[in-house]
Amino acid sequence: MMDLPSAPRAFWLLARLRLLRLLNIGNALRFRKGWLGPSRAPTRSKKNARWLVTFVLSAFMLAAFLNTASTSLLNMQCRLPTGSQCAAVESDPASRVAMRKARKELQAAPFHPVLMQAAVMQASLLFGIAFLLPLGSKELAQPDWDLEWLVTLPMERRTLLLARIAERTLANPSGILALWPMCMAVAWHSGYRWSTPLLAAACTLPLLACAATLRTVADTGLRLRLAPSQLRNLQAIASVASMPLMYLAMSLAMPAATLTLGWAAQFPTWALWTPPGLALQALNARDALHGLGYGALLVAQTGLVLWAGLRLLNRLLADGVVATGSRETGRSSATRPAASGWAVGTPLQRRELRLLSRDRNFLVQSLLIPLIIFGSQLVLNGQVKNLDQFIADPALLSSVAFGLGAYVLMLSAFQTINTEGHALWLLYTYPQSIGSMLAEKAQLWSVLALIYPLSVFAMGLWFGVPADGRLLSQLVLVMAGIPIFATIAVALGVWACDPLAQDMRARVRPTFAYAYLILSSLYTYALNTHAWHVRLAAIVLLAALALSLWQRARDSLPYLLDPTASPPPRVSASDGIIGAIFSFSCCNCWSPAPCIWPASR
Amino acid sequence: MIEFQGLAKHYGDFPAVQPLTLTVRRGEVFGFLGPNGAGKTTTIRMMMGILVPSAGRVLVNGLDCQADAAQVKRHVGYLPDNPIFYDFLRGREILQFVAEMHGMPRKAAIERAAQLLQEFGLQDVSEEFAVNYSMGMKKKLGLACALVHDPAVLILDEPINGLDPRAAREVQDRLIASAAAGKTIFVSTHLLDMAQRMCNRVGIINRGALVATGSLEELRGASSADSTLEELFLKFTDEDSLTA
Repeated sequence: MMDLPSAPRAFWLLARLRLLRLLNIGNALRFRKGWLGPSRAPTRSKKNARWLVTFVLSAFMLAAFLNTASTSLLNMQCRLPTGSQCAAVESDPASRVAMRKARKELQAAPFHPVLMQAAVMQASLLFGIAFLLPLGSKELAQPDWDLEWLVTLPMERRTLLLARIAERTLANPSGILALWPMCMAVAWHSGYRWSTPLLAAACTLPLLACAATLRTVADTGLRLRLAPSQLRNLQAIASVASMPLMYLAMSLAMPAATLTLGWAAQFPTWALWTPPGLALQALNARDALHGLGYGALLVAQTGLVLWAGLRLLNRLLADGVVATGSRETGRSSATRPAASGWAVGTPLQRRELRLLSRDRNFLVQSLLIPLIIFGSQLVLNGQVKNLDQFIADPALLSSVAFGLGAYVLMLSAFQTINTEGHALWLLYTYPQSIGSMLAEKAQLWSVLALIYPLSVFAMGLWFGVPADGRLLSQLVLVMAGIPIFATIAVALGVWACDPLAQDMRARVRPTFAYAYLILSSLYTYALNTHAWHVRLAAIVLLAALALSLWQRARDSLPYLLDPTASPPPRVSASDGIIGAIFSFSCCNCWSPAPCIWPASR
Repeated sequence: MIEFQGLAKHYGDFPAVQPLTLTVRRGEVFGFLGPNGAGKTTTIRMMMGILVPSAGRVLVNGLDCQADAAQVKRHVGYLPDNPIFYDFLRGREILQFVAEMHGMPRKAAIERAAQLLQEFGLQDVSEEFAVNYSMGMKKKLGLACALVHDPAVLILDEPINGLDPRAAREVQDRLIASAAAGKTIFVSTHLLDMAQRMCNRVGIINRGALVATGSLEELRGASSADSTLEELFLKFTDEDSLTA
């Protein structure tokens, strides 16, 4: 009989399996959907530049997070009672001169205790994101649980759990993006230079390990204690809860965010001795002894969290890894007679509404998150100080109304193919064209998205926005924009979605979401301009684009589930319209002087 | 009823299905046999418009499966090899939804769904989310979905693969009854006892190419008269003889 692998070898085998999986996901991103291996290599790739887009986007996001973390520290140094002189050199604390002064102060001496408290609050918020965002992923609510398979392997449970935590420590991109830039900013402003990324990584790793331990304990315990429907609710709550944390953390970089800056200054001092606090203190220590001391404490605390987590996990798994049957008990048919009376919409629209009412995650993602994101941005970032701004400026009101509706469409209509999931094959069995079915979905999401701008306008009227001709024209423009953008969202969603991708993260290509956002911003520009002919041109161009994109998307539908075939390349009306829109944008949005239409703002 | 006209599919240089020309007659139960990876599912997916042929076409009732896809679906019921259903929907709701998508009025759809759930023995689990069904239940629900609009043609991909003997027998009996009612059935399988029991004619596909077609007697041809379908299958898909 063969010997079982030793614990270290088992640990390595598991870690290698996880890394291999990550590599395969990377390969799937890099090559194409439906990459079938060397024997079935297609002649032509559907998305050969995708790896480049992913790389550029990752680098861009890292740079953006780093910039936010650095600006937060400088902003807090200037705005909090840290004894900084930056306000004295410049009346505007966000000016370059004030920032330069704050930067010099930070590098000259250890952080002021108030700044350290504030920075620890930010790090704690980011730690919360590193824990909550992965917990809110679809993995929690999936009926299949990989631990059920892993426990059948011949190894000690402790090794298995440690490997799981290690994998979740390293494979937590949202956690890395949240915590590493923050640690790098603290290290940089503490005087480190080229060693900054490494030192920051050394302090980020224990924090990620703590987050991974908490997540593993949480999802293991929850899976064993809660019914599948409760798990789905919890997943929705976790995904929502991480949003305000993110905006709270980001708002510290805004000079106008007086609310959160006030909270940061009063953050309790004991938090300095938690893992996020110790990580920042280790990076900010000005001598090696103190730095190593804080670092050792951080490692010790991480070890303690790991030890406690493993003990708890062993206890949770003492009775096995399956506590409840995977099948959800439904009500018997006798107690639930099928209703045959009045029904809204088409069968497909009714199914979509039914899914929306049952899938809490779908509901939250589609209809609630846009509200949270918009509300957080407006309130926490200090962009809207009071309601008078809305009353004084109907253009702002209509921009918010349209923006909210457009955002809802991006998270709903844009995902029409994606939400079909692996059941997309069913659409190919009905005696209707898939285009007509998608049109039904676009109609439904248009109606649902219209509720948001209408509510914003109703609130505006309630708070005293004058109901004059200008407001009416803004309302008409917004109402016209929603169906146009529902069409654009569904059409772009057809190209953005890869229904053959096995990994959920690879199913939607972000490039098309950015294209949608750019087009939305163009419409928002039209809402803000006073020149009626510019508005008219924008609406006509975008409506024409919506129709031509729809036509092209319809041509692509037969190829959606085909791993290799694509519609024959040809020049279509949309190419010309995109060119016209680009020209329009250059002339009116970015050009210092309008070249075709005399835009005025 | 079903007419393949040089239907082919290539994945790059790899010929998944080589030009396939074949006719399945009305009321016939045609078994599409082949080892794993031979091209059976690819062929069926092209029939359903899920994959786009690299060449050729397939007609059902004279309608092109690509050009007249929506019209073809009126006449066709389809069961995939691994039916995956919508999350968060109960078996009854899925069946009712499929019936309505085929144009049935709501009341009729409800009655038809209840009838099929009863016939397939799924009434006890009709209020459970279908995503949680066992493989056997999913196959039965998939078959019920395929039959809900009473199609003239059934296209079935491995209909009893993964089912226990009782469930497999129930599905086969159901299909035999459908065939007796005059439906044309195109069924892919690598389970030869099923093919021998059910099919009027079979086609054997290997490495994407149709290597034999006909009734069991016709396939026996040059072989000994008492050859079983298994022996014939092994003969036609023998790699050594193919490469020799």
